[in-house]
Amino acid sequence: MQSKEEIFSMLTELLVDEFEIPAEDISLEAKLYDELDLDSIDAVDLVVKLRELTGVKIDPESFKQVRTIGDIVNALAEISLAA
Amino acid sequence: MQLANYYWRLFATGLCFVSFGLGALFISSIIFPLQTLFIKDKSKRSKVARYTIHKAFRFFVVMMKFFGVLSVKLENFTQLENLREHVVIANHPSLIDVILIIAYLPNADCVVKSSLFTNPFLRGVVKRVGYIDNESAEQLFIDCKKSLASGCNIVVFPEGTRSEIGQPLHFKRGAANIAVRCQANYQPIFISVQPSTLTKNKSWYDVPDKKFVITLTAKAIIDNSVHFDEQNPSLAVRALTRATQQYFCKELKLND
Repeated sequence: MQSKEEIFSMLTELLVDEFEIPAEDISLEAKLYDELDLDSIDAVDLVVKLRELTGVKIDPESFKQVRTIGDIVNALAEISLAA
Repeated sequence: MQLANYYWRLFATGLCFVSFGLGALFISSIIFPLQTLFIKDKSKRSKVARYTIHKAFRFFVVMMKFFGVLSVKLENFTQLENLREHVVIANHPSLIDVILIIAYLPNADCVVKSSLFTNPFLRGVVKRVGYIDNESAEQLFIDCKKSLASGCNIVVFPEGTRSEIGQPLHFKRGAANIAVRCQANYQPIFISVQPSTLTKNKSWYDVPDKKFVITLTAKAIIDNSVHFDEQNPSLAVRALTRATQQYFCKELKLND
C-alpha cells in the first residue's frame, strides 16, 4: 500500500524518464494532454508502464476519463486500497 | 485578360470542388456496388477499390490541370513506383496534397481522422478502401502492421493538420509511432505550392493571382532502424519525431 505522495513521486520519475517531461512542469493539477504534451498513444504506454511498476491494472477505458496527474494518483490510490 | 483568367480559375476551382464531391458519391454509389457484384473476395475488393481511387484521383488532377487551375511538378517520383511497406511523410501546405500523393503513389493507404467515416461524401470511399481509423490507439498499430505487411505504404502528414505558411513545422508523434511500432522506414516527400493557396486559413474561393504550381519532391528514404526500441517506444518515438522535424525544417529552410 503506497501513500499518495509515494505514488506521485513514482509517477513523476516515470514521466521524466520515459516521456521526457520536465520535472518542474509536473504537479497534481497539471493537465496531461493540454499542458504536458502527452497524446492518446502515450496514455496507453503509461497504463502499461504503471502496471509493470505497481502491478495495478488500470482499465484503459477508465483512463480515458483521466485529465490531470492528480486524477491518476487518485485512481491508483483507490485501486490499491480496494485490492 | 488577366482578370478574365482570374474569374475563369475561380469558376473552375468551384467546379472542381463540386466534381470531387459528386465523383466520390458516384464511385461509392455506382462503381463500388458494381465491383461488389463481380468480386467476391473481400481483400481483393478493397485492393481494387484502392486502385480505383488511385486512378480517379489521377483523373481529377488531370482535370484540374486541363482547366488551368494548377500545374504539377513531380521530382524523383520514379523511385515511388516500386515502393512497399514504407511510411510516407510529407509537409502539408494545401488541401489537395493528399490527392496528389494518392494519384501518383501506387498502394497508398491512409490514416484518416474518425470524422471522415461519418462524412456523407467520403465515408463510402474510406470504408471501402479500408483506410485506417485513428480513433483507437491500440487498434491503430494492428491495422497499420497489417497494411504494411500487405505491401501498402501508409501516408501520414506528421503535422496532423495543414502547415502554417512560412512558420517552422510542428510535428505530432503519430507518424513516428507508426514507424517505431511497426518497424517501418520513412519515404519523405516535400510539397511546395506557389503561390500559396487552399491553405488552412483561406477559403477555396481565395484563388491566387495566377495559376499555382504544386511541386512534389520524393527525397531519399530514411532508415529508421536505430529507433526500433521495443523497451522504450515512447522515448524512441520522441527522438525520431525530433530528428524528422529538424530534417524537414532544415531542408525546407524553415527555422526551427
